[in-house]
Amino acid sequence: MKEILLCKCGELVLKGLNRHKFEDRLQKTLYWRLKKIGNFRIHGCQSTVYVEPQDGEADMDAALEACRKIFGIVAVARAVVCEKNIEDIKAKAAEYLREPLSRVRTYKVETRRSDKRFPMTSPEISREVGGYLSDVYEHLQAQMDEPQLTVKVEVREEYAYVSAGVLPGAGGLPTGTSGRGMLLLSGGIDSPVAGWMMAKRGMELECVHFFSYPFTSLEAKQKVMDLAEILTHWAGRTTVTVVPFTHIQTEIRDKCREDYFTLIMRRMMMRLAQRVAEKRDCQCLITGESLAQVASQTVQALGVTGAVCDMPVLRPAIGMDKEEIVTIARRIGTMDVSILPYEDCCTVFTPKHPQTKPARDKAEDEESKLDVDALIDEAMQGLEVVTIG
Amino acid sequence: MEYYLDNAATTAVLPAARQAAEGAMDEFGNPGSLHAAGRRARQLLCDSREAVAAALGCRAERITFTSGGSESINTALMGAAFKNKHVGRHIVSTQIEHDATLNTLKALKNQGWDITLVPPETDGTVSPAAVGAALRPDTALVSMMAVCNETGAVLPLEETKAAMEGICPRAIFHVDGVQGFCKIPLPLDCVDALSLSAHKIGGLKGSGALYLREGLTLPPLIYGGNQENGMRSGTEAMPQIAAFAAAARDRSAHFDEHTARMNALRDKLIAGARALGCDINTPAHGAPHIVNLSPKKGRSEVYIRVLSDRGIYVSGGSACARGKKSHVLTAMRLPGKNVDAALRVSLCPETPEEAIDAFLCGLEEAMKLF
Repeated sequence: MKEILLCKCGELVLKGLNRHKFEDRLQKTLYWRLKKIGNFRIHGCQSTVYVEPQDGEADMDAALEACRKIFGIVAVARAVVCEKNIEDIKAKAAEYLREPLSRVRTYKVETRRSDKRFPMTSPEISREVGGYLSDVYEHLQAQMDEPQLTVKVEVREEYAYVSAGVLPGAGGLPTGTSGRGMLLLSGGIDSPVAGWMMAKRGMELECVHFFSYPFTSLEAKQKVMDLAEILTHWAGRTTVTVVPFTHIQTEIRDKCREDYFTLIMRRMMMRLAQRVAEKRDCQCLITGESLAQVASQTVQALGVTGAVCDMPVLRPAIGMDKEEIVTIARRIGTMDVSILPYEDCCTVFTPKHPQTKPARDKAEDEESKLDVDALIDEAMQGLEVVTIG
Repeated sequence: MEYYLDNAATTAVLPAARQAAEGAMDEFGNPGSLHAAGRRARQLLCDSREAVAAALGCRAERITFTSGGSESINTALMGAAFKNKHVGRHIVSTQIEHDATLNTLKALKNQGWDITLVPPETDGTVSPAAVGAALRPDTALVSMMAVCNETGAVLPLEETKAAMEGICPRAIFHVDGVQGFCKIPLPLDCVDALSLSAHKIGGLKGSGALYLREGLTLPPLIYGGNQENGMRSGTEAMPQIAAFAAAARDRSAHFDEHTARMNALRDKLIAGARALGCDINTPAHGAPHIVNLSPKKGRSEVYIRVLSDRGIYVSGGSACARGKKSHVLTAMRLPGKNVDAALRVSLCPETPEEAIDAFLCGLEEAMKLF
């Protein structure tokens, strides 16, 4: 029996004349992600992209998992391919669904018929297939409301498909259809989630990490690489630009007012991130900031830190509670890495009583004690770019 | 140039130990086999047991080879608790024990045992009076380390045994001798069970021993072919055992000379660190090989990285507790900043004097970062 994956496209089908751009992008993404798993033919029709294995060696489990992590796909069905006649549909359904049907008592059959030339209507197909399954598997009971299993039959142009229901996909828009963003990736819980959220909206990701050796460890840097690697499962190939940040931090500590340490550090980070973003052809910065989570994320502090860049700063986690962020971090697989106990640059010189209502002019006064341009230039000289995925 | 100053974490394998391990790999027979190859392995096992026993000062049959300190401690504590459960359900130990002890006691606590952990004094020592006050007539087991792995404090074994005689004479006294063996004289006559590790004295990792006094038997942790008199089943790890014996022979033969040398280095290190303004977290009459110190500012892990980049290897707290606050220094009620900045420098008899100079010099440089 030949299996296939039916990937249902999400909101991209609502796009107008440029819809094909979104579809092309999605198919390209599918091609690249599935290339490592096996030999698949990928073709689109209506609002569905078909992923067809070309030989018996393709790992369908891995392909299904990969498709569920591709943005732009709202649902994935793993189905068996049937000839377009009711006898073949019935026989394949009974055989293909033997295992899932053996585990349930109640079921129903739902049919979609996009090829209206097929001689039976959808309800007729459902009845026919359902009746046959009940004959073959005597333990089954048809139940229209909340059955344990919904058998899906789809009659399309070339073939009909039978599956044991659909699994939710990643949703969103295909990667690369919404520009490129530079994610400030720290190693904590929030920033990978923020990156993922923007990638879900079709944004291609690049990452920047501030490295304060010896105040932070090589393990902390590796942790950031590991987080970026997990993001590539969703957002595809990325880079991490590592910015040497030690000198800037010690300068701030030696010259600035303690309650402004974190704030000025973050202003320096934003400046550098923007420089790196311009260099890497990104159109915005992405941060994991969540309103009032810590002192540097009050609305006043966000204003003072954001004031140094003219690029848009996207903060997708801004209105989220920590628990909501953690739920996403667990779902996307970054949580276990994020909670490894390595210190990141944000906690190196934390003031005892950080300023929660900073003023921009005071921050600028404090900064005037530093040679900001020289420090930025020095850091930009020492960039290290690592490609991941 | 590399200076390894983390000998409490593990030591370099002594040349004699390496040679003995290689010999045992060439002579690979199973000591349980009846043929000549087995007999030769059996002889080596017998000689090795003699050597470790001689270094400790006991008879060979009192020694059981194990996979290391943790297994010895687990065997002793779990076995003693089982054996003595009719005496009472109370165990006394200290807050500064190694995790091998603390976590085994935690497991016993979950089985319904009542555990009292005696706090240390602020200088890291444990007062005999505090131990005496913790003992009860229903105390079935007392476990204490001979030397604290983080501070080098020497614990009052003899006084503890004396107090036990008066209050709970039937309690079993286990000593974690991992950091004490070949570093300080161990008063074996007041101990019921004692755990040893090979890789802290120049042997191989994955190797240790458990001493049990004459007349004491404990139920084993590992069942099987009844090797080691049924105390510890599993084919004997001959290369490790032979290396352990060789290391013990070497270390015990030069005990006085080695401890004198390490004491001199230790004094120099303490004086140098004090001159840099560090606080010394090691008590005055500690073991010869461990110094724990806290620079006024900064964090251990940063110092460790900076020193490591200069080829100087030390640890913060203990090597097993990477990234966690030291439970020992916290129990000593040291100020939080001293706990955060603490460094443990640990020596071996081969440590060159210039290593101390290099460390002090590197430390002084690193302190400028903060």
